[in-house]
Amino acid sequence: MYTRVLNLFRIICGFLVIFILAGNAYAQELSPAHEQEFMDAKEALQTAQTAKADKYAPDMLKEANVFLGKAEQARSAKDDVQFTRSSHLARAYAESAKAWSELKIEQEKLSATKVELEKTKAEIQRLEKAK
Amino acid sequence: MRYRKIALYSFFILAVWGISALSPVSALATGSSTSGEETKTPNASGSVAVPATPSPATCIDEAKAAIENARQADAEKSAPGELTQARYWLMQAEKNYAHSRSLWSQSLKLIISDEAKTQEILYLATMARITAQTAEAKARKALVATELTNTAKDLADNQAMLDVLNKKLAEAELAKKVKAEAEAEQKKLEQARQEAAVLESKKMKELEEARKKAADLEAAKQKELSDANLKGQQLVSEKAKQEAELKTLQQKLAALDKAKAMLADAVKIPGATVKAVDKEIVINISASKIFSSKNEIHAKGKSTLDEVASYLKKYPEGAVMIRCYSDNAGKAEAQRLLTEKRAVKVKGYLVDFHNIAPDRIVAKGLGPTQPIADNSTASGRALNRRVEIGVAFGE
Repeated sequence: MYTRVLNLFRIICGFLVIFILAGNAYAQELSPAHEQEFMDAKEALQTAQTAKADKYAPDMLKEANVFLGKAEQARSAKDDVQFTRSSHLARAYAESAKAWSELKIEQEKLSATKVELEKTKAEIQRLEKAK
Repeated sequence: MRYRKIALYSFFILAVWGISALSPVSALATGSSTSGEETKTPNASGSVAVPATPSPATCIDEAKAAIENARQADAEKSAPGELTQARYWLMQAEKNYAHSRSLWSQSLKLIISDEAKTQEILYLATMARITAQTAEAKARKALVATELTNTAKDLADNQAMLDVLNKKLAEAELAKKVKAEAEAEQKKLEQARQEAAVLESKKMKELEEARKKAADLEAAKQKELSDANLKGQQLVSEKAKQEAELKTLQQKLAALDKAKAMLADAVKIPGATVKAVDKEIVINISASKIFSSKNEIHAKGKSTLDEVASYLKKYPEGAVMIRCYSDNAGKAEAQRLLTEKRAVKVKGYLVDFHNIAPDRIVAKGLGPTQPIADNSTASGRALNRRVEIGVAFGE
């Protein structure tokens, strides 16, 4: 019994060593698809910055930058899984930052419009009273 | 010896498992957690909610909450793709998490670390949360955009109303200004009318005064003219009168000159006394110097009458009045008849012998009337018996 368990453990360790070595060998080069995802993330980040996310959603933009840095680190480490996930997360954060930034801009516009509307209504009331 | 090896391997495995359990397993999912920061989840207002120590279960709960928020924000309608994607991520995360919680996995955890599995769950849950947040943001943005559109429309309507009101107000102001100007003009006009009325009244008064003055002047002029006319007439009349008087005076003067001449010539008649009386030259000749006692003209008397006749011929214009008088001796009627016969005889002599026009001579016997001397004496009576030949020298 002990021998069998030991052998099983040895086999598992052997597989693990093989998987690790095979994984490292497999991760030697990142595919163009992964690079494209990274480029998409960078583009999303630039789009978010264009949408003034650094002003309206700075935390999310920071997260996107952090994950973009992690993706670059993963690229250096040839870790395609980490590279892909970091790229995905960077892009997701960037897109979310852009969405929230656009929402904030719209809310500001709405607030300004409401203020203008209130002013206009007040002016109308004043004119009505003056009339 | 075998048990010692087994114990050594077991200790090694447990050590590896324990170390791996102590190592951060959610570095990938949390991103900035490696730098000590917390995972931040934007809420509706954009602020962040922070889970303390992320674990798969926590991340999954956060993702669920994010999806619920997105759903409540009507993301199913506004951002269905993102919401579906988030749900898919969440489902995958939950599936993996459930698998990791299976008896086999729990057992396997005792042997080897499931770091990769945990990181995958965290990754899936984080992706689900972020995608849900994106969906929520888009949904909220759609709502805000709709509200903004409506608000902008309200604003446009209100601004249009405000423009109309401003326009009306401006028109009212303009109308008010125009009305004020019109009233001012009306006032000016009224004032001008009043001034014109005053001027008209003054002018009328002046005109009336001028008319009155002109009438007065005209009246004065007429009066002056009338006076002048009257004066002229008076002057003319006076002049005529003066002329008449002058003429009369001239006539009188001429008559006087004539009378003077006649008187001077009459004085030359012998035996006669001459005087100028009234408008005639009276040649008084005593009766005895003409008539004889038989009451006839004697020679001397004829000579005297011849002189008289010559005188009458020299002055043929004047009428001749022969008046014979007597004294008061005897009856007056007899004396009158006597004197009348004498007068006729004198006239007859002058007409017959000197061709004096008979109608020029009037002969009257006046008897003892009009004596010129006292009849009580003889000389007086002799003077009263006389023949007067009056020769008119006037008109």
